[in-house]
This record gives sequence, structure tokens and C-alpha cells, in this order.
Amino acid sequence: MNAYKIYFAIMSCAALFIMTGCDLAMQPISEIGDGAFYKNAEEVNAAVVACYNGLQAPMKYEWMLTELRSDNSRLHTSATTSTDRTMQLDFDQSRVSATSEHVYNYWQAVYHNIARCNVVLMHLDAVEDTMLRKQYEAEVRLIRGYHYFNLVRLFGPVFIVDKRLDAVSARNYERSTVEQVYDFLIADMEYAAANLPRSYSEKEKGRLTQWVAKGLLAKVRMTRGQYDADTKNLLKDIIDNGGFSLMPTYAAVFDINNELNDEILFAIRYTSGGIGLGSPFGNWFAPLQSGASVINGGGNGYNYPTDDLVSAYSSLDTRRDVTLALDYTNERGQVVDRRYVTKFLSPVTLKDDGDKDWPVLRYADILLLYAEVLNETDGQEAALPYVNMTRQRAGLAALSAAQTANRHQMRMAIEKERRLELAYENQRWFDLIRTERVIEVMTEHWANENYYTTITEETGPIVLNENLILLPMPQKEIDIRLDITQNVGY
Amino acid sequence: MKKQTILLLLLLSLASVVARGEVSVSGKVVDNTGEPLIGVNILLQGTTSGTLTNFDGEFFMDVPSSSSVLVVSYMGFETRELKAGNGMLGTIMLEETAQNIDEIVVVGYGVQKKSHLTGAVSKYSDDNLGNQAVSRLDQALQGKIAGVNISNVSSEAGSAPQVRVRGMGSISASNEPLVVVDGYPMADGLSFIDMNDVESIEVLKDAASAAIYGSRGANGVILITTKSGDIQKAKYSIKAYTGFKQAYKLHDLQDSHDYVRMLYDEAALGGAGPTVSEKAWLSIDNHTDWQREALRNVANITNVQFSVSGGKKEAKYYISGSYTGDQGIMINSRYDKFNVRAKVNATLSKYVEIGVNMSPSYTKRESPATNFIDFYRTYSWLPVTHTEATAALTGQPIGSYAHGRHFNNLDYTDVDGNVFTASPWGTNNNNPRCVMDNEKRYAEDYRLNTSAYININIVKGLTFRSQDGFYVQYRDNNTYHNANAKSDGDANYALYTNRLRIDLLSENTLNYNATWGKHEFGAMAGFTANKVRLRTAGIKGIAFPTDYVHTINAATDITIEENDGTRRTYTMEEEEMLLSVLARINYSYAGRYLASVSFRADGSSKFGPENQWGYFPSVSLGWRMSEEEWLKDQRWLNQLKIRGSWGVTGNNDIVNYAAYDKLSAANYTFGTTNQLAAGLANTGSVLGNRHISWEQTNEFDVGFDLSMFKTRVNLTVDYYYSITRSLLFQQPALAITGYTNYWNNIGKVRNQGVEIELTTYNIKTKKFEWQTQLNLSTNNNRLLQLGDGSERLLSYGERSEVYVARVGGPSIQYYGYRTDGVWTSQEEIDAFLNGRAATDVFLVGKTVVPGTLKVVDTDGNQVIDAYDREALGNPFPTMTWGMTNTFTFYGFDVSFMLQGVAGVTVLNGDGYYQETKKINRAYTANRFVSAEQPGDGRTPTFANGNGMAWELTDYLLQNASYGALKDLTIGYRFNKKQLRPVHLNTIRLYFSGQNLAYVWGKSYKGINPEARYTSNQYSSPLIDGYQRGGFPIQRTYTIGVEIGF
Repeated sequence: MNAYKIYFAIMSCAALFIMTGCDLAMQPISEIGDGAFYKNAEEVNAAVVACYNGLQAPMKYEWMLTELRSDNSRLHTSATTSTDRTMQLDFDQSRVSATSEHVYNYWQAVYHNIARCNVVLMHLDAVEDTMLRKQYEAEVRLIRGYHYFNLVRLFGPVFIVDKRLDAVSARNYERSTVEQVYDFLIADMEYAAANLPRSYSEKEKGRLTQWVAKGLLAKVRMTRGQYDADTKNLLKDIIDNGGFSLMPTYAAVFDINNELNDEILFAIRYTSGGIGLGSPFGNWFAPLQSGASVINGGGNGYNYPTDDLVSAYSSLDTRRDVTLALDYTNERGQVVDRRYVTKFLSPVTLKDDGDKDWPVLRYADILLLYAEVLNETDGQEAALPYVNMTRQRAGLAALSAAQTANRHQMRMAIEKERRLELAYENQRWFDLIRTERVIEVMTEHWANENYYTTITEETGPIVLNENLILLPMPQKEIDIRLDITQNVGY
Repeated sequence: MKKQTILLLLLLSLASVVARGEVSVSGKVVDNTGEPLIGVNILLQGTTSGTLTNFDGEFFMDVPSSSSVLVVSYMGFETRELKAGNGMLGTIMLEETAQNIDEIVVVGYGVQKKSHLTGAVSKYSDDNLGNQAVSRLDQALQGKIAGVNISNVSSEAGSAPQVRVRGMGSISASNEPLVVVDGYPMADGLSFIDMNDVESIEVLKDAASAAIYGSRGANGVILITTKSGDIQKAKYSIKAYTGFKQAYKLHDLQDSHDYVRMLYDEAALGGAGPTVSEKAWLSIDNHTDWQREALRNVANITNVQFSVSGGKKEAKYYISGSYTGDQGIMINSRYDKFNVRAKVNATLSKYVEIGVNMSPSYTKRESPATNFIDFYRTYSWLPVTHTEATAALTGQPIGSYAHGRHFNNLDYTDVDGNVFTASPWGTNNNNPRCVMDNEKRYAEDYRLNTSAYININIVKGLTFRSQDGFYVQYRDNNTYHNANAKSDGDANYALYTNRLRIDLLSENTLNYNATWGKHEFGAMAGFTANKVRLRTAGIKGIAFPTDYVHTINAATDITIEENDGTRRTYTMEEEEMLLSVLARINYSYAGRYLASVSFRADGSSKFGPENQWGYFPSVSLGWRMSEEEWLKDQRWLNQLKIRGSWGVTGNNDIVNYAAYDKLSAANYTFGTTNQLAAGLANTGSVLGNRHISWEQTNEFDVGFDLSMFKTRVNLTVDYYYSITRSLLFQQPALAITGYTNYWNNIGKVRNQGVEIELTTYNIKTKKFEWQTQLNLSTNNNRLLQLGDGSERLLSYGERSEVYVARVGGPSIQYYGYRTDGVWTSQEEIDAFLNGRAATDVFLVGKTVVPGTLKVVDTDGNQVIDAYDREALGNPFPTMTWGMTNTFTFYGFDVSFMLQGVAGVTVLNGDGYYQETKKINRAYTANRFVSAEQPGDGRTPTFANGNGMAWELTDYLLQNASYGALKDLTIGYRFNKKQLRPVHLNTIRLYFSGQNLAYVWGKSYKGINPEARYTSNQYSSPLIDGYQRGGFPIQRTYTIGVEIGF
């Protein structure tokens, strides 16, 4: 062994060491680090698309926070030990607690998409084309406004977040008043109404238009009791200039082969194919223990139609059989008496991966809102033709002037019409809040529906008071920041 | 900077070689019976140069002068020092010691004499380690080392136990210790190393010892050293055992008939009586013991190991191969392991030694698709497959799987002969055995760790060592789910994922040792680079036309992403890099005063660009009082050493790229033809933090080592106090940010405790020996700071049960409502209501009636609300201990091991579930039924979900402290006379039993106090102590044989 050999051996070791590479600056390989993105219009557009994508997540819980709390749906049986269903019982029986996971999940999903919207607003400067920049801004502000409209109706005073928040600065945010939240969301919607296009190319259909902004604005105004000329004009504008029309049949509105049809202003889109964009509602609402006889992968039996809603449909009403089914036939050919919602049902290969869109705003809704405004501003006669449009399409006889002889009767007629027309589209709860009839309707419902009688024998009557109309602030938020005030009554 | 360091090294290496050698020394080393000792270390004092004795116990070497001192040492014998003199040393006899206080201990990047250690390092070596009937090394170490707490959180075959060294320091990063096998850090080292290959295990417990591993040392370091060849004739060894396992204890469940009859009986005394569906249970004539359906009748465990080792002066080898087959006691639970290890080292010249160490291994693990809880919550009226009676009742074919829903909407007859229609089953679920039979899950691991080293003696005392290697790990996961497995209409699918991890390591160190008179000096400096590349891939195939073919080529469709956002078909890559510079200096004066300082700088790619480098110094001091003149003559005292140390270690065990907001796909479809539009957003739930950096642990340790009475009594005691600051903390964010967590360096945790290791040789005669090893450790964990002025942090489990990390308390505490028994009457409730409405006083949604839990109004405001919650206990043990006694007489050896933990509180989730409570006598006995049958006043009724359904109350908390007879082994070793005719060196036969007896807390209602949930949210370091549906403890009996020739 000589010095040369030693030198050579050590050199080889050193070479091996150097070859392993010495760079500590490592960027993600399979994802994109945010610093490297949002450099041009195309990339900002990807961020806008992500805001549309983010509309889906809150829908998983929204039906529980609205439809299940209303008189449209309940659980099939209250004697359940399943965790999932026990938590749903709370929504059905007006006893949601602040620790409810679903309340938190909804809250988090909505704020997550608001954060996505705010990221777009931060990077708009990368878009050189002024028109396009305005369109992107208007789109995400309308999405943000839509989220806040839901939040303020469900939770009352909430946090207004208008930029990307980090965890530390979030601790200094306070709840705004209901008034401030409305001012904020109205500004977003008005900007959208002024800057969004009237329509898109066939390829981009489904993006938000100014008609959506106007329709939502009208709903906001009505929720705040503004039954006036401005509201009327917003709706009239859509009816006259929007180019929308009622589909010939009710079934055609929800036809899986004709989505985004002339009646749809705004729908949350779902696409099957195992790409993470499918709708779970076909499976969720299909009956429990139905195997593959209703839908591949079986059903969860959620959103079970109440006796009350089923009996509200007249036998001539074609909407009932599109909206729900009373029974199904199992593999052995037996007919099983078990109701379920069919409106969102479409065939799937993969469980929870349906294709059917969820309409958020459609022309029938606009017509009925218009009727509602007209009834207050111009009287029941003016409203009558608009109520009858959806009725007649459903195969029912037109209401006569005698049947809607005064404003109150017309209100009731519109309320019922909206309930049947928009059943399970998450409108019922908000309608009852808007008309301030929720306590009255629900108290009556719990007293009359047989299902509740055995429950109330044990636990006493189900109570809905003014305080319980709003949901609680999620306890997890208060757990992080003790000074967040809880809504009264929780 | 790197390149300059290398250059420096090269220059050093060019220093010339010095010639030497004046006196030739020879001698022969024997034991007190005159038998030659092979492989005895002969060392020139103060140097690393020396030699070993040959097969005849002889050695020859050259020393500088006749006054040179030779140190003759051999494991298990007293070390002797001899002057070279004229070189003719003749026969040297070594006295056997009870315990070798001067054994060599492996420390990070080197070895040290145990007597000169200044840190807290526990060494464990045991020839019988491989005879334990467990399939993993970490399971075998339970209860063996003070300060190392190992809990078998799952009884599934091959599943990993939880390992904690000196408590828990991190609250978001991992708390797993660093495992280093033969100098190679490998996270899963404990899972696949063959126990028979283990020479010794050293645990670097204090920060001063672990600081040499810098950024990865904060959770302690476990060093595993595998066996090497010795200079001797080829030594063959065969070891084998086989045995069987059974459940130690099962739940005391009630047959559903007995249960309903009990309800009828209770109804006579004011109870509610059975519900309609419960009445139906009684008329179904079936009695299945569902717990038995989850378990095998007999589960086997088998192990075979073969090794050969030996060598000459120039080359030594150790080669082994082994197989372990371990069936879990649950059906579909099995673990197979094949290991090969080949270690060869060669001395090429006086200056150069090289070696390779290769260890390929293959493991296959089958896991059950169903948790035990799904079995023991199924009522006994449901058969596995339809019997004649149930077939007649339900109209299903005899022998087909029976599912609860088959029994719905049928007419039943009650005890009074009334016919009624009932639906006794409420879910879609198939029976658990059907689920188990129809889903297969396999994980296969292929591992190859290969490293080579070269040692170059540059000049006397100066050695350069380079160890380079790679560790490739490849895992294949296959799941196949038959159609209709979980529920009717359930679609079939196959899931395939794989993971390839390539870990490249280069470690280069320079060692220098010198002695000047009474000064002994050792120095080590080095640099290392470690690069890890991780590639994962997955695919999910669905809609298989039949369930005969399970590979994805047979699928008719592929799922890219699930509706819940889970990516199924993908390839992913990650990289990480760790660069380090390290150094250590050891100094001792006259063998009395010891000092050691070390330093390591680590640069990691995991952290933000400005914060990638971290620095980890340590200092430790020791004083061997027994070497002082005034104690040296005390014959009873062999050694007394007092030690003190301080060091800084770090933790970098977080996800890669935590510094960034990571954008991933968030697509959408536009247009009537469903055009896919590409969207991109931070879709995760965690916000990135540019400034994310190291977590740092500062630890003080003081201790002493005492050895007395000819080393018959050996005691080591340590006290440690550590503060972990800048915690890598996945801090919860208000959801209004859009995210739920973000990474931060914030907060402070303290751990302190005492560790005691005591080894005594109680009786030591030629014919009878009795040895006791006892270890005991305590740990006290306190959260000192959360940062941002926060006082507490809540985490949530599967039932939204809350765990609080509160400043001033342990890092994890159960957080919920304290109860004071149950409400025994309506009057009592009315008195509390005092005229107010129940909805204004009690929690929203909870029904308060007699028999429900009486929640204590802790804040005294006369209202039960979320503010009444308080910390109710914690899952940390106050003390863990283990004791092994070994007796040897006339060839027999008997040993038993006791192990236990004290002060552990678990949250038993069974108490949440109606199904598990109803038929379990641990929950039905003494419960409130009616005013006439109030029970013990503490056990609530089933009705209305206890009144506190899904809320955490102290009713669910149980004392899971236990003491166990973990192991009992009886062996017989044939003596040489008996073996002469068969030409073998050794034969030992033994019988061994594991988990033979347990004693546990009275309030504990489960069957396995060690069981814990560890997946999903339970993998968070801030959640621990939850158990539900754990599989039973396995009691194992084995017989084995060891043969050597």
C-alpha cells in the first residue's frame, strides 16, 4: 500500500459523495409551489375554474342545513344507531349543537371557496385584457356573494373575508353585522351584474352570466323585505331579455341528456367518470338496503321525503314522479315500499359519481319570485299568470282568480307552488325564512306528521324558536378563539 | 464550502506513514479453567492498534518498547493490563466477571468503552432475543430498556408498535425515534431486522449522546448492531421454534336471547322492556358467537434461522438466512418474513480494511378487512350463513351469507303469541364475516440495504472511514374487493399502489486517537450527505365483470379520483436532502475525569429557504470516582461514575415542502358537451409557511453508574430534564381562512423523568445462577407554551371527542364533561331545573331523563353548556417498568419477564356505541333501568344515548394500567458429554409462553389495555389514548431448539 493508493481510495469516496448532489433548494415535483404560478391570463383562469370547482364541496352538507330542517324531508326511522344518521336527526328535530360536524364542514367548505375567490382577486393584474379581467373579477365576486348570501341566512352575522388570510391575522377578525354582510355581498353581486357577459360560447356555457347576478340580487332584496320596483325590474329584465324559457315538461328540466337547458340560469355542475367531479346525491338519496336495484353501489336513504310533502302533490301533478318515488322493485322482483328522492338520480358506474347537475337558480324560480313581488306591489291579479305558468306545465289546472282572491291566499298559493316546483333544490327552508313563516309551518308539521308522535312522546315537543332559526357558530372556531361570540340560544 | 472540506481531508490523508516496532510480544490467553479464549482483544494502550488471539488463544504482535502496556480484554472477563517486558508473556489468565463494565458500547459514528461513557446510553444484548415468539424486533424489546416505552397498539400480525424514548416532545412532527442499523439510518429498521442477527442494541437517550445525529435525534436514537464474524472456525447455528396462539380474553357478551329476556325481566320492575325489533330477536332461533367468527381456531407462529460465521485474520464473515411465519389470531391476518444478511470484512493490509454488509429482505403482510368491533357488535341472532331455520324465516337459500336486512319486514311472534312485523336491522351492512371473506388486502415489502466501508489508517491513531450505501425499499399494496362485499349492491374494485423509496447515504469521518501520559484524547470529524427520493403510484380499477380475476387488466373502468377528492390513479414524486458536518472530541484524564463535546450542523431541504441549516452542540462530563485514590482500595466497589450532560437535538420529521402552498388540480366542466376545464388551487387543508424551521430540544441529564461486589450489583440511575422549543406545529387555523391548519414553529414542551436500570447476580455458583434485571422509568410531560398567547388547543377524534393541549398540563388531555353518576329521579332533575325549561338549561339536543348521566355544572352557573368541559385525564403512563429473572441450574434455564405501565387512562370508545354496550355485560351490569332498579347509581341507561351521546364524558375514561407476565421460558442445554456422540457443540431445547397473565385496572372494560387507534385522525401526535374494537391480546406458546456445530 502506498500513498498513491490511499489517495485514490479517498478520492473515490469523495467523488461518490459529491455525486449524490448537494442542493438543498427543492421545489415540489408533483405539485406546483404557489410562488411560481398566476403569471398570465390562462393561469388566472385556472384559478377561476377552481372557484367553480369549489362550489361542489358545500353541497354535500347544504341539503342537511336546509331541506332536512324543513318540512320536506326527515329520516325514515328515528330508531337509528348509525352515527351518521343520529347526527342528521339533530337537523331534522331542530336541535343542532355547536359541535355538529356537518355544520363545521359546511362552514369550512364555504370559507375554503371564498379563499379561492380571494386568491383570484389578488392576481388579477396578470390578466392584460381588460374585458377578461373584469369578467374574471365579476365571476369570482358573484361566487363569493352567493356564498355569503347562504352564510348570512344560515348563521346571521359572519366574518367578512375579502383577501387571503393567514392564520395569525385571522385571529384579529371580528364577526360583522348582518347589515354589513349584506352590504358586502350586494356590492359583489352588483359588480357582477354590471360586468358579466349576457352569455358565453357553447364551449363555456355554465359560467356565470349577469342574469344570475340579477336573479340572486332580486332574491337578496326580497329576503330583506324589499318588495319594490327595483326588485321587480331586476326580475323583469331576466324574463324579457335573458332568453330563458320553461322546458315543455318538468322531466325535461332534469333530463341528464339535456343539462344546461334553457331553464337553467345557474347550476353546480357534476361530471361522472371517476375524475373526482361526480355527484354523490344519486346514491345518498336512494333507499337504504336497496342494493343495486335503484342505483349501482346502493343507497344511503338520506333526505327521506315527508308524508306531508308527498300528500301535497295532487294526483295530476307530473312533478311528483320526477321529484321522488314511493317504492322500488328489488332484484327478486318484489316491490318495496320505501320513498326516495329521484331528482338527482342518474346511473353511475362508481358509487357517488353521478353526472346530474344541481340547479341553483332556474327560470321557474325567477317566475315565481316575480309572482311573489307582483303580489306585494301590484296585487294578486298581476301575480296570477306567473304562478300558473309552472302549474300548467306540471299538468295542473290554472288557479282561478277566485282561488286567489286576496293577497294572503296568493302568498299561500305561491308558497305551495314554490315548494312543489323546487322541492329538494334546497329552497324550502330559505323560502320559509324569507316569508317569516318558518316557526308556524314547522310547528304544525311536527304536530301532524305521524313519524314525530312517537319521538315527542319520549322527549317532549320539538321546539323551533327565533333563536334556533340561525345555526350555531361552529364550536371548533370558538375553541380556537374563545372570544368569538356564539349565536344566542346555543 | 463543501469542496474545501473535502480538500482538507485529502491533504490530511497524504501524510506519510511512520515505521515502527521494537519488541515482539507473544502469549496465550485462557480462562480460569484453562480453556483458550479465541478472539481476545490485545490492544497497545492509548492506541487503536492491536491484535486478536487465534484459535489456540495465542497472539503475536510488535510493540514500540518493553515499557509499552498491553490491554487484554474480552467480553465477560476482567480486563488486564500487562507490561511488554521481554515480550514473553506466557499464559495469561482472565477472570470471568459477573458483568463486564468495560464492554464496548456503540455510540453515533463510533464506539466507546462503557466505563468512559458520559452520556445516557442503554445497551441491550441478549442471545435469546430471537427466541421470542414475536415477528418484529421492536415487539421483542418491550419492557427491556429503561426509558424506551413500547406499546403493542395492535395485535395484528406484523403491525408496528408505538415506540417512545423519554416521552413525547413534539406535538405535530413525529415522535418516533431514529433507528440506525449498522450506521445506516432507516425509519423502518425495527420492523424487518432479523432478531437473531442482532448483536446489540444501544439507545442514545440523552440529547448529548443523540446530538451527533443532530436534526433527527430529538426523539432518541436506537442503534442496532448486527453480528459479525470472529476469528474462529466456521460456526454453524440453527435456531427454530414453532407454536400457537390464542386470544387471552374476549368480551363478556350476552346472547341476544338472554339479553331480551333480561329486558322482559326488567320490565316487570319498571324497565322500558324490549322494543319491537328486540322482541323479534327472541323469535329468531340462532346463537352465533360472533367474536369466535373473527378468530382462527389455532394460529401458528414459526421461525427458522440459519447462520454461519467465522473467519481468519484477513477476512471475516457472517451470513444468515431466516424465515418467520406469523399468523394473527384474526382470520386474514398473516405476516411472512424472509431475511438474508451477508457481512464480510477483509483486512487488506496494515492500513486498509474494507467490508460490505448486505441485507435483502422480503415481507408479506395480509391484513383483515374488518375491525374486531364489527364482529362483537353483531347480535348473536344473526347467523353467518343461513341455517335451516333462518332460511325458512327469510326465504333465503340455506348456506348463503345471512345479512341483517334479510330479517327486515318479517312477521315475528312474541312471547305472548302475538304476531307483529319488525325490522331488527338498521343498516345496509353485510355481516362482518362476509365482509372479511370478500376483501383481501396484501402489502409486500422488498428491501435491500447495501453498504460498503473502507477504513484507512493514515498515520498512527488517525483513521479515515467512508461508509457509503443505499437502501431501496419497494412496497406493493394490493386490495381486491368483491362485488356485494360490504353491502348489497356494493361494486367490486381493485386498488393497487406502490411506493419506491431510494435512500442514498455517504458518511465520511476522520478519527484520531492519542494518549500522552495520563491524557487520553479522541477526535472525530466528518461530513455526510443523504438524499431520499420517493415515488408512489396507484391505480383503481372498477366494474370487474367477474370476481375471478383480481388484477386490473380485467377491470372495465378506471377511477382517477373519488368524489371525496382521494386521488386513485397517479404517480407522484418527492425528494429530500440532508447535508451534515459533524465533529466530536472525547478527552479523559487518568481515566478519572471524562469530557466529551460534539457538534453537528444539518441542512435540510424540508425547511424554508432562509432556515435550512440547524446547529446541534453538546457537552458531557463524567467523573469516575472509583478511580480516585481514596476509593480505589474499596474492594466492594468496582465502579462509580457520575455523569452530567447537556445537548441540543432537533426534529425535522414533517412532510416535504411544508414551506409552500401547494397547488393541485381543481377542475370543472363547462359546455353542454362537458368540456373539462383545468383548474388549480391549494385544495388541501394546510397553509404553507415560508419560515418553517427546526424544532429544537435542549436536554440536561445527570446520572450515575454504580457497580459493586465483584460487579454482582449494577445500578444506573438517570434524571433528565428537556425542553423542546420552536415546535414544528401544525397549528389549527380558523376555518375562515379557508384552511384548517398551518405549519408553524411555536410552543414549548417539557419532559422530565427518572430512569433506573438494575442488574443483580443474586446467586452465582457453578451449579446455580440467578440473575435479575429491572428497569423502571417515569416521565412527566408538560406543555409550557403554545405561542400566540394561546392557552389551549383542541384536537378531535372520530366521534368529535376532544383532546386538549393546555398550557401547564400534559400535551394531551381528554377534554369533556365530568359526571357525578346518573340522575336517579325526575325530582332530582326538576330540582336542578328549578322551574326553568330543560332546553334552556341542558345541552341542545340532549335528552335528560332519569338514568342519563348527571353532568357536573363545573362553572356553577346552573346551566350545562360547553363551558363546563374540563380536562379529565391523560393517556401518558406515569411509570413503565420491566423485570426479567433468569435461573440457570444443571443445564436448565428458566426466565420470566414481567412488564407493566402505571397511570394510563384510556378513552374506551365502546361506551359510545349502543350496539357494543347493550350486549356487553361490562356495560349492562348495574346499570340504571328504572327507579326501582337504579343500579349502582353510576352506570347509565341505554336510552337517549346516556343523555350525553357523542360527547366525551369521564364515564368513557378507564384506567388501563396493567402488569403482565409477558414471557416465561424454560430451556435445557445438553452438556458437552451428552453431545459428544452426535458431534455437535450445543443443543438447547426450550418451551416458552408469552402474554400469560395480565392484571389491569378495575375500571377498565375492554380486553386489551394496550390497544389504540392509530390511523386517520389518530395519527396526529396530539391525539392518543383512544381505543375501540381492538383485537384481543395474543397468548402464545412455543417450543424451540437451538443447535450449534
